[in-house]
Amino acid sequence: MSDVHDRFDTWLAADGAAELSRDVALHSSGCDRCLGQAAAIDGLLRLDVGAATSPPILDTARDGSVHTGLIEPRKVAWIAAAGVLALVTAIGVGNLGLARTGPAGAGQSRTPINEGVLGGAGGPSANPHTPSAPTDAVSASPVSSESEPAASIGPSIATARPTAAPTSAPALQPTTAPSATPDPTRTAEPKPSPSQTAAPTPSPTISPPPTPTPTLEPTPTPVPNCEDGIDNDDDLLIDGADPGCVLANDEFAA
Amino acid sequence: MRDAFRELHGTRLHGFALLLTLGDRAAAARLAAEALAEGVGRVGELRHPVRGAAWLRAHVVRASRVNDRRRAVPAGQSEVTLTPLGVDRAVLAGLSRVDHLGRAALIAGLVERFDRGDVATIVGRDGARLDRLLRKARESYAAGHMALAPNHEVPTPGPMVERIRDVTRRALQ
Repeated sequence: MSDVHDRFDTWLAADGAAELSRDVALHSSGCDRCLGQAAAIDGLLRLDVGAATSPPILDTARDGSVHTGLIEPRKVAWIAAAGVLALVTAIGVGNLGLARTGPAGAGQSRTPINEGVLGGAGGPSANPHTPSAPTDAVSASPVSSESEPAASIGPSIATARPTAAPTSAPALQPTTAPSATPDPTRTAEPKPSPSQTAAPTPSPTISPPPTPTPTLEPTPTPVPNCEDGIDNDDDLLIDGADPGCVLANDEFAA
Repeated sequence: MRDAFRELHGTRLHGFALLLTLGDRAAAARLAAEALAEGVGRVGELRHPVRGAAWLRAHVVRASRVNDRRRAVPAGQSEVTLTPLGVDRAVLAGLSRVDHLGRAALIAGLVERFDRGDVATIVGRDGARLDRLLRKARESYAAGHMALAPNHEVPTPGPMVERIRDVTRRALQ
């Protein structure tokens, strides 16, 4: 039986082009499986793909490439690469700009280096570079012109590093300067006292904030009514002549 | 030339795509249109009508393999779309049982009557691999078809059934 089925399958696989033998035909005409398979194939043979409509027309470029309205992955990759390149360029330009226009950071970083070099070199003679560093950092303060020479002096290395804050730097540097340097050219200049403890004195700039002078203005206290030359209680007796002042140091007392 | 190429291949290619996608109108239209647009760009190479037709279908098969698993045809659309092509419920059930590549081979070989070499081009297989693909596709399709038409009840018998009856009639005389 299976032999007949195999022969039938072979005939079916050839789409009926081969000769169908009589015994196979006799068998298959009464076999539901064989007839079912033949009917299934007939179902396909009846189909007509030409009954479909025409598909829509897509644009084609001159080179034959198709434009489906979607962005191809390759184009997406190119766009992404260009975006990354632009971003990297922008960051690079930004860094260059910062490096040029960042005086505070540059000045601070330069100062210790100069001081380090000067400290190793013995300080006093290494003046040529020194004006640049302090002027960058301290130019705003009034004491800067006086402190400039002092900044070039070696011994202040330890104190100069914390001077990253521009406000404290000028105050400390001049104090150490005279003590350490026998620089003849500068000797006339430093009026600050040699002692380091006295250093804060030349910096009067700090004092203004703690003295809120307005508190002194409303001074009614220096008005003892027995000394103001006024008849305060209208008894026609003034100050010492008033018995209140004699008895209680207060004109109103009597 | 390009218009002639579209005229020659457009309709049947669209029908092939409709059967392959089991009646997914949008997918079939897109697949056929893209294949035609690509083919128009190569109209010089595809001048031979049969070779051109096989190349276009191969393009559709390749492009549709990606979408085949993740697309589901909306309910009822298959019957509405495929009935004008002669597809009944049993044929649709049979085609639905076959995998994508086997379906392409069945449509190309049995519906469009391409020869074996062109079917090999369309599905990208040849030799014993193509034989196995076709045999498995036929079995799956027949199983699906017979599930809905158990008594091979067809309104008008097709050429295969007619042939069996004819040979049997002659044998019994």
